Amino acid sequence: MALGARGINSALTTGSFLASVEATFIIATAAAILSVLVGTPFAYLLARSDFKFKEVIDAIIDIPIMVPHVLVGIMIVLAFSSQYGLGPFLQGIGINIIDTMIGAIIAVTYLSATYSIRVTESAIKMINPDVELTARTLGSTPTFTFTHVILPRIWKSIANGAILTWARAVAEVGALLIVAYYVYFNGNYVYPASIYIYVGYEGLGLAGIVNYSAALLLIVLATFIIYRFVLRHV
Amino acid sequence: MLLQLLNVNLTLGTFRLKSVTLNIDQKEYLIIIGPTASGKTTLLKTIAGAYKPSSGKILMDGSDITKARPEERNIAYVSQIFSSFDPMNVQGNIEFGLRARGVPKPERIQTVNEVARDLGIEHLLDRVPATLSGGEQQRVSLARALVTSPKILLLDEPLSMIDPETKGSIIRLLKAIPEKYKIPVVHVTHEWDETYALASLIAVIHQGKIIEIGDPEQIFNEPRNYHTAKLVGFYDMHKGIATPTNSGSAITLENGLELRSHMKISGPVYACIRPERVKLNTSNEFNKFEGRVVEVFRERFGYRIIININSAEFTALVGSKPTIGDMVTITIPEDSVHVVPTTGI
Repeated sequence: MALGARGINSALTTGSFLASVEATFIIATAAAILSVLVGTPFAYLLARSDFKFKEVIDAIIDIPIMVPHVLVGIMIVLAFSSQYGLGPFLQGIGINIIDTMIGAIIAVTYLSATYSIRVTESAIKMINPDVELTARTLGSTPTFTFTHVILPRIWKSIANGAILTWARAVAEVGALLIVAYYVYFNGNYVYPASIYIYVGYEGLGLAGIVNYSAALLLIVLATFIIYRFVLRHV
Repeated sequence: MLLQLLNVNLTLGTFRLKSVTLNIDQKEYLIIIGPTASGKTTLLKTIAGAYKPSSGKILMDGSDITKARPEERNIAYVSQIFSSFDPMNVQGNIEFGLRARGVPKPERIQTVNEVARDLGIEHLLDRVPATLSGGEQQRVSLARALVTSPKILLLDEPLSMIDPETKGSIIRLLKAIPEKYKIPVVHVTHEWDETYALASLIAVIHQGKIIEIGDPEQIFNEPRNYHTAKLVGFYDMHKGIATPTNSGSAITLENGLELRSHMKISGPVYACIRPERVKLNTSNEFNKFEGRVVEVFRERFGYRIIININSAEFTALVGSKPTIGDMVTITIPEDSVHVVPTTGI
């Protein structure tokens, strides 16, 4: 960041870079929201239930940690491209996944939600199940118990998981290289920020991209600091 | 009968509840006593609805509640460790069940105040549960359960986290519940003094099976099972063969000693003796033996000593401290030698 400090200003006034950061923030925020909405019930299930093939589900959730993300990108292409999997059907109803915001969101959500799920799962496991049983025997439904007994205790963990998911989504390169090298956003084709930096490095070399790298680092760092500050004071 | 468990079986990992049958009446204070890992908490949670039996039935007022969810049973469960609903204060914790049932706020406040006053915790309502003592937390747990007017109150080792000083007041409080609130209590513990103080009915559980049910006097003085006898304070359990005599039976122990009991019984038995019934240096026609002191332990009311007699160990409680190696003469009154058959162990 120190090397690129002098050029941060110029990076922050470059339209293509700002569009790229904007698209990336939208993709990452959508991934964080989806990971909370889908991941929290999943985390609860994993923390509290024993069921057949739980190990398989556990392993599937951990795939993003285990394999190169390029491979996950290929899996998504195989599942959704125009010639494979659900692709032809989705295209038939007007939905394109590859090289779109939707595709980018699907890819980074799957790759990043692991963090959200695992953080929330650990937080739920910290709560003695007797607390829930006590609440239930007092007449509380599972939903009321979750919203009034569990959620007040784990919301900070959920928020932490969400920000980790968000950060991981901003940082994603591998899968996006395959699924959404560029995305159609606000009437233009835009590179996600990580790809923008990568393409810039390939084309302009180190000296040409250091400003943008420093600017992206600054933006992400500022977001994290603000987030931590807010979380600490609520 | 208010609550009936009929041949309830449950498998939980490698643990099994085996054909549990229990009847709980109105105004009953049932204590399920058993050693660690005997299945008492599992049984309690099965009644609460946390686990569904693999077979058997649970009936409440004659209706089958075997598959009912915990919130549909109106059976309140108080866990061993205080289950605080953070970040609610004590008031919020106590009124939780009423809120969950949609009771309007003014009614909630009135009910909480009444029960809190009853249990002597009115002054704690604004406090955070984490700042309360063990005894106060237990009172809050009870209040939280009682405000919902449950049909049955389940208590999982309610005195285990409480200091001895507070125990007395909580025991008084618990004992009053069936009469005062018209709510029967099912309480599980491994402590036999707590059981003796509180129970109107006792069920003994061992390895997932109810092995004996009876009133406190029967269970404590005349247990019918080896494990019950061990659990309720019979320290010495000597295996032998009993033959009937005119006044009871003579039990020949494996080491050749002969013990006399007032109980008429024959065949392989365990002779069970409480240490407080073993006397030192008194005269008796039978059950008079000489042995060597091999261990001495300090107890609240004196000393517990182990005496070796012909390779069999006998325990006695004495007021003054003997020295290890002393020779002593013990006597055991015939009516203090309780006999249980070896079958069913």
